[in-house]
Amino acid sequence: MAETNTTQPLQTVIVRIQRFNPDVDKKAHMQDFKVEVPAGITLLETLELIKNKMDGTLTYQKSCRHAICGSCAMNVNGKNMLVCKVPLRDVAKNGKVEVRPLQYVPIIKDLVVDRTSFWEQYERAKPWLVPPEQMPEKEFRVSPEEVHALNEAQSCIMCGACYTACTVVAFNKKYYGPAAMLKAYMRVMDPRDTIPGERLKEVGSEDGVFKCHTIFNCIDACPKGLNPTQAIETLRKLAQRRAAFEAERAERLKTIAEPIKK
Amino acid sequence: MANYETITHDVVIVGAGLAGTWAALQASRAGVKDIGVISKIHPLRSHSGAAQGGIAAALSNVQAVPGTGAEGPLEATNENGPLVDTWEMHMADTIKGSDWLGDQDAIEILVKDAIKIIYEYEHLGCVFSRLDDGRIAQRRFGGHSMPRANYSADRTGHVLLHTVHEQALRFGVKFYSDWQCLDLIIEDGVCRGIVALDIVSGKLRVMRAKAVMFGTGGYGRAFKITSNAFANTGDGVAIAYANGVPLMDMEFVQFHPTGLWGSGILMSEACRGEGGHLLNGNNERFMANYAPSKMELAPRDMVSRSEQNEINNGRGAGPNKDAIWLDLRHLGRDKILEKLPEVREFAINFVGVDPIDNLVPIQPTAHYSMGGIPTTADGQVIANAKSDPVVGFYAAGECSCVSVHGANRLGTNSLLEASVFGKRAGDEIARFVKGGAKLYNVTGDPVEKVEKRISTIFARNGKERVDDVAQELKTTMTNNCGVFRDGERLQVAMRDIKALQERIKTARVEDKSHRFNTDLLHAIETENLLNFSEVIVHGAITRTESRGAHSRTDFANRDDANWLKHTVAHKPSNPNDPPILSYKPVNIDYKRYPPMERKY
Amino acid sequence: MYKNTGFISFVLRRFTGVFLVIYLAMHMFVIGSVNLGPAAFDARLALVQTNVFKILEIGLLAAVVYHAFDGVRLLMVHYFHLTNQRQSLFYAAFAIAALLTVAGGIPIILFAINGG
Repeated sequence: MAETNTTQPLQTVIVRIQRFNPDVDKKAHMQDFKVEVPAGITLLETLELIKNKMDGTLTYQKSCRHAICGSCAMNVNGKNMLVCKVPLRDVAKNGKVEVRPLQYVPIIKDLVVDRTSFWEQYERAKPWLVPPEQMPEKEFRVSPEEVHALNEAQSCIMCGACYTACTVVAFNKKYYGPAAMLKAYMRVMDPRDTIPGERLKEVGSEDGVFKCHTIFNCIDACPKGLNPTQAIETLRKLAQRRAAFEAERAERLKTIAEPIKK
Repeated sequence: MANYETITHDVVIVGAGLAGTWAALQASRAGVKDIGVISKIHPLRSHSGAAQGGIAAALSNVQAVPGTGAEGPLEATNENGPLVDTWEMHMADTIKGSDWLGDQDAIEILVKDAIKIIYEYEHLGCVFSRLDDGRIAQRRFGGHSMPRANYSADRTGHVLLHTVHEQALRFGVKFYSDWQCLDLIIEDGVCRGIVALDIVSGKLRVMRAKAVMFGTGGYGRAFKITSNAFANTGDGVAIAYANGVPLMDMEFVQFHPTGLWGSGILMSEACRGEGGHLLNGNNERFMANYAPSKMELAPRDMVSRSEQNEINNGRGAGPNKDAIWLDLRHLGRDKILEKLPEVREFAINFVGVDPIDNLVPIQPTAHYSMGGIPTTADGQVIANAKSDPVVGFYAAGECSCVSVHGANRLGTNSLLEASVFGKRAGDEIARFVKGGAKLYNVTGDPVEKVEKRISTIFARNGKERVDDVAQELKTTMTNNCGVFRDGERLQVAMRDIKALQERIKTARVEDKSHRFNTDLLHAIETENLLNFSEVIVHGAITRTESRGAHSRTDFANRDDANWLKHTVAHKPSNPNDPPILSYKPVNIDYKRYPPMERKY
Repeated sequence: MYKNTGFISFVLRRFTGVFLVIYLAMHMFVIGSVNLGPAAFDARLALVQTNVFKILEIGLLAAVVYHAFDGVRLLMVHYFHLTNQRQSLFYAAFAIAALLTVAGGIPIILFAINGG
């Protein structure tokens, strides 16, 4: 935390934070906090300093501190990011940084937002594997290449940064959104999944991949460097050849418990 | 009578990490349909997801190339050949790692079920890293004699957590996100429910259930340098203790050897499992002097002590000579990007160095709580050293103490423990509920006490803030109850804790609102930390020996004659008295695994 | 609003799309009058033979080429896995559209000045 870095030079930064408690405030307002902090600390550590030394009413979410839990996604200088992994000096270049809650979703308090619609779309995308009914005694056999195709999608931490950057989501809450589509992609591509056809039918429906306007905000906003747009593009192609893809999966499932042959 | 809403489920589970979610999934699959799981953060943000390196099971998929020794390259085994790794070997490693304080009957269950649960994870959709023939890949880990860490790059916990959560949703488990458990309702020795705070609205609720389970995680946040998330404040442990449930082996806290310098954020043990080295300030691989056969892959307690010893003797690295170098450079760019992508990011983001080209400064960091709420191997919480049950109350995962880790946990055994015993608790809860468990009435007003506690906290208007108290506690715990301990410093820690327990009573909370009040939660969590920290330190003072992670410079040797037993701490009736200690024998099979000197 | 090149391209795409629809309606209004006889057709044509409309024609050209090359850009993203080139592709589409607008705009202006 901050105090362990006291050997570093100090920098003065104005942290401008959007405040809003719907129970008492009519509308959101910005509040400036002037802090003197070691140059190397993260933005989350800066917020901690403000909350613990200046204003205990400041409210935000946090947990793991190392970009794996997804709690602390916020809008910083207009860009979505995890404040735990961003060094303050990177976002306060002119001695100022502006922190707002994620957009397009309701605010609960200050920097805490209500991600209900995000989670509803996640559940709607059926994130769970539907494995074959006959389980082998040991593992299903999946090749390193097949795993490689899933690596990106399975790294998603569900922070909602992409969802709350998506222009389509801004206007249409029925749209699945990038994170749910990335999850759907992961399950469609999983060689163990038995319902890729059903999944492709759903993501190819009105609220699915064809609603995407290829704006790329999701890629720019993702703090894990993932690429939901590419997943959506691939799903578009697969949705157009659903029957053939289903047949390929059925074929693959016949040998899913047998050693991969090179 | 306070005004509150009551919610009723057959089963209420507190905590949605691996243990809690496994229990929910398993009970649901066993036919219990009405399950509610509450979590103070969204289930997918639970700290199980932060585990990096792997989950242990003797699948026998991988072995060292014959003749290449402990650091040689790995190859796939012949799958039709004899097993190279067995649950018996896993068991022996775990017992030795635990410094013989682990209960061997429970360890046997753990290592046998390990193999089944890995295959089950795989069948449920977990994306493990693979060998060329499609089997699950395995890597080396500290204290294990074989490469048996099954992994998914360096985000294993994340992938496991997502897999189980997804399946729990598939089976209709109901999750309450952003709900904080504040109290247990135990009347006449029977657990009848909990009192919870809906954090968003700030309203208190009573949740009644036939069975309550805690999977509330560890207590590493009691320390300043810690790998643990902000959420890991040991709430479940503190609530159980406050309600008369004892705590077991609390003095055993694991310090992980590779926390990033300054913050303690974890650099996975997989860094060393993949071949990373530790260097002191003179650029020497100092582990050669402490554990010549295992080197960097000795158990965590030993490596942490070795590091601390180097630092204490002036051989530390960095400007203040208070760090150790983690050297990954020789692994090469490709291997780091393929197998350790996340930890590379951590080093870049938090200490500003890229491990592909540079040494990473690290230090020991509080990591895992071996102690906790004592349970049977079926998750049944026990009320005393005689193992009488607390009817209707279950626990699993890091908040519990089965005890399979004894005095020191081996890496990759924690994800395993949370999964195996979470699942077993789910089975046991299903048996209990379907066997005709009653929904007992709550006779008193369970909310009144909690409401009073909250209004007392709101009324505090002292000069100090809650966080000032919290930081002082963490500092004294890291400085005086850390890697090395001695009677004198432990007494200092105890005096500090006693003083802080008084100071918190006037420390002010600035946010007095009801909606999403994180300031109030911080106060409650800090009270929790103060309550069980006293148990940690008291146990450490009393245990006059060195065993596993509990290492006393004034009692440097293990003392099996007097201390081969579990500490069981009960809350005293007078809060000024120390915890009342009793002792529970360790389950040991003296024929198969008799206590021996622990050397690597 | 979340602003970057993707958002700008989206706004331009929408804007030029709507503009083209309006143009199409006007175009049908003029061309459709051919059924009403030569006199009616000439009268309607005269309405759009003013200098204002000459300038608007440059806008029309800009809208057509931008919209077309933006579409080509998206097709390329769809078929050739080019999401990582999203910024340079946008700049390229924009630059080509701007070039063609200038190239086609100069003759239109010259034609308007010199009369036809």
